[in-house]
Amino acid sequence: MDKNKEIRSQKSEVRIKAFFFYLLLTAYCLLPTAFADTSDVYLSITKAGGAKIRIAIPDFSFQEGAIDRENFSRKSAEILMDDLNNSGFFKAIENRDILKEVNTKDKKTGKINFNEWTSSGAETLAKGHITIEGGKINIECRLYDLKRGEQIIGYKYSGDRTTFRQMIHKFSDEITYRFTGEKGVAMTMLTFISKATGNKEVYISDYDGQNIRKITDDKSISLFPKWSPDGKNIIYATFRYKNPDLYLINVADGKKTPVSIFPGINAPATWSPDGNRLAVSLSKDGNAEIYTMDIDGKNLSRLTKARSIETSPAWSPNEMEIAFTSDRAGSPQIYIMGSDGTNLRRLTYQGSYNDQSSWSPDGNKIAYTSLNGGQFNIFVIDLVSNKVQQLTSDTGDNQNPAWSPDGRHIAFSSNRDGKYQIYVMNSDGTDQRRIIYLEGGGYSPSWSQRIE
Amino acid sequence: MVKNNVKYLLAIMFIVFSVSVFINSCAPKKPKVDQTAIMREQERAAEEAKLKAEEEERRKFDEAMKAEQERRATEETRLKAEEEARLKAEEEKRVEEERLKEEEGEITPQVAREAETKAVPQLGDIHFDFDKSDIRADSREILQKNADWLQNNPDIKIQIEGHCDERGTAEYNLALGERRAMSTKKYLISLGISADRIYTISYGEELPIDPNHSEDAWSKNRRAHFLVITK
Repeated sequence: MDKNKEIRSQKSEVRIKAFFFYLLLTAYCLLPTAFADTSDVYLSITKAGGAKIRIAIPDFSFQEGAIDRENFSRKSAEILMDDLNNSGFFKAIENRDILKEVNTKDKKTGKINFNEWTSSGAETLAKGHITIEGGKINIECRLYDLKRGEQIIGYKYSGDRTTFRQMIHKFSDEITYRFTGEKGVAMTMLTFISKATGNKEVYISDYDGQNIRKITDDKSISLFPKWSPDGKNIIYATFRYKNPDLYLINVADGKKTPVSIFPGINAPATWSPDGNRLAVSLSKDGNAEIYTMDIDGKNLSRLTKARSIETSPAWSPNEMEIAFTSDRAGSPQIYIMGSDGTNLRRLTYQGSYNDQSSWSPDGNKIAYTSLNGGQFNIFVIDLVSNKVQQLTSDTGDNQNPAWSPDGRHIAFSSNRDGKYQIYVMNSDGTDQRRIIYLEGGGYSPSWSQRIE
Repeated sequence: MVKNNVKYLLAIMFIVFSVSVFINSCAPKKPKVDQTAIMREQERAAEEAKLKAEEEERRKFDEAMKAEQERRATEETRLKAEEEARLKAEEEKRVEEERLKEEEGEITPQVAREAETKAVPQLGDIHFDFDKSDIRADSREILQKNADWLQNNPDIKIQIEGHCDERGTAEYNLALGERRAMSTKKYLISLGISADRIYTISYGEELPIDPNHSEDAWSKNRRAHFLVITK
C-alpha cells in the first residue's frame, strides 16, 4: 500500500511538473498578443491637465447630392469637439476657416493633405462622412496620425435620429481610448431633479447635459435619484404616497417598483458597487439610522444604533465600507464604518456641517459638502493623508458632488447664477462650467457608469 | 593378577579416555546450543518489546484520543455556555433597550397614507432653532392649547408635519424634519394625548412657508405644522 502511495505521489508530481510546463508555455504564447494589445494604444497619457493633444475636426462630409436639412455635418463636428475638449486630453483646433480650407482641398484632390493639416497646428485629424439611408443615419469615422500620414482607426456607425449624438460620443470614447488606454465618459449619463413642471421630478440627460428627458410623473416631491451600477435603474425618493418612500424606476420602460415604504423616512439611499444591495436611511424605529437591504427591500440589516440622525450613506467602491453623516457629536459630520456596521470612525473634523459624501471611483477620496459662513461648498478629503481640499469658493452655494466613473470630473449643483443648476468641474476643482440650464432648476446630480 | 590389573587399568583408562572424549565432544556443542537459545531468546524479547511498544503506542494513542474527545466535549460545553450567555445578554440588552425606549418615550412613526387633511385655526404651529428639534420654551403654551383642544375633541386625529429651512442639505433636513415632528408628537403624548391619534410626516426643506432667503423667512420655515385628518 505504501508503495502504491509512493507511486501515486510520484505520478502527481510528474503531473504538476507538466502542468507548470504548459502554464509557462501558454504564458509564453500569450506574450506577443498582450504586447500587440498594448501597442494598440497610440500614446500613453496618465494625467489630465498635461500637454493636450491638438486635434483637427472639420465638419463631417455629407452624402453627395443630398441636402443636409438638419445640419448634421456641422453638428457632428461640434459634438465631437465638445466631447474631446471635455475629456481634458484634447484641444480641438478652433480656427474654422483653416479647417474648411484644408478640408475643401482634401475633397478636390481626393486625398488627405497631411502636411497642410499639420501646418494648421494639429497633430491628429478626425473626419467623418454621413449618409442617409431610408431614415437611417450612417456615419463613417476615421482618425489619422498627421506626422506619420496614416489612418489610426476607422469605425462605421448607424442608427436613427435619436441615436445621432450617441454615435459621435462612441467615436469620441474610441479616440480617447486610443490615446489614453482608458475609455472616456462620453457614453455616460446624468440623473438629477428639476422643478420644470412645478413639481420636483426625476430627469436624465447625456453626460454633457444634452438630450434631457423627464422620467417620473409623480406630481409630488421626488428626491435623491441614484443610477444603478448597471445603468438600467434609478433609485429615488418620492412623496407620491404621502410618505418619503424609496422607489426603483426602470429607465427603459419607466416602470416603478416600491423598494422601501416603512413609516417615516426611507431616503436617501445608495447602491452597493455590485448593484445587489442598498444602504438607506430609515426612521421606522424612531429616528434616522443606516440600514442595508436587497434591492427588493428584503434582508434588512441595521448598521447604526444611536439617538442621533444617521443619513446620506455612500458605499465604498470596494464594497467594504460605508460613509455616512451623523450628528452624534453635536453637528453633522462624516463617519466611515464597515459595510456590516463595525469599525466606526469619524472622518471629518473641519467645518461645523458636513454631509453628502461621494466616494471617488478609485476609493481614495471622498467628496462632500460643507456649510461654512452660511455657504455650501464642495470639499475633497484624501482618505490616506486626511488632507482636505476645497474645490469651490466664492460662487454661491455648491452641493451634491457626484464623481464621473473615470474619476476625472465631478458633477454638482450650484446657485451661483441664481437658481440651483447642474455644473461639472475637473476633480481638482478647475474648469467649473454649467452644463444644464432649466427654468425649474437642477438639483442632486448622480453620474452613471458607461451605458452602451 | 598383575595382568588383570593392567587390563583393569587399561579398561579404566579407556573409560576415562572415552569419557573425556565424550565430555570433550560434548563441551564444544554446549555453547552452540546456548547461542541458538540466546538468539531465540533475544528474538522473542525483541518481539515482545516490539509488541509492548506497539501496545504502548496504541495505549498512548487511545489516551490522546480520549483526551482530545474530552477537550472537544469541554470546548463544546464552553461554546454552548458562551452562546447561551450571549443570547441571554442579547435578550437582557433587548429588554433593557425596550425599557429605555419606554423611559425615553422613543416611539415609532405612524403614517397616514390615505388621509385627507386640513388646517384648523385652533391648532397653532410651533417653531425651532437652527439644526434643533427640542421644544422651545415659547412653544409650550401653544402645545398646551393644542393638547387642550384635542382633549375636548377626542375623536379628532391629527397629522404633524416637520419642516426645515433651506440652510441645511436636503438629505439631513429630511431626517431633521422627522425628528421635529416626532419630538412634537412626544410632547403631546406627555400632555396626555394618545399616540395613536397622532400621525407624522417630514417634508424636510421641501415646503417652505416663506420662500425668501433671510433669517426672518428661515425662522418661519423651521416649524411643526398641525393638520386635522378629515377622512
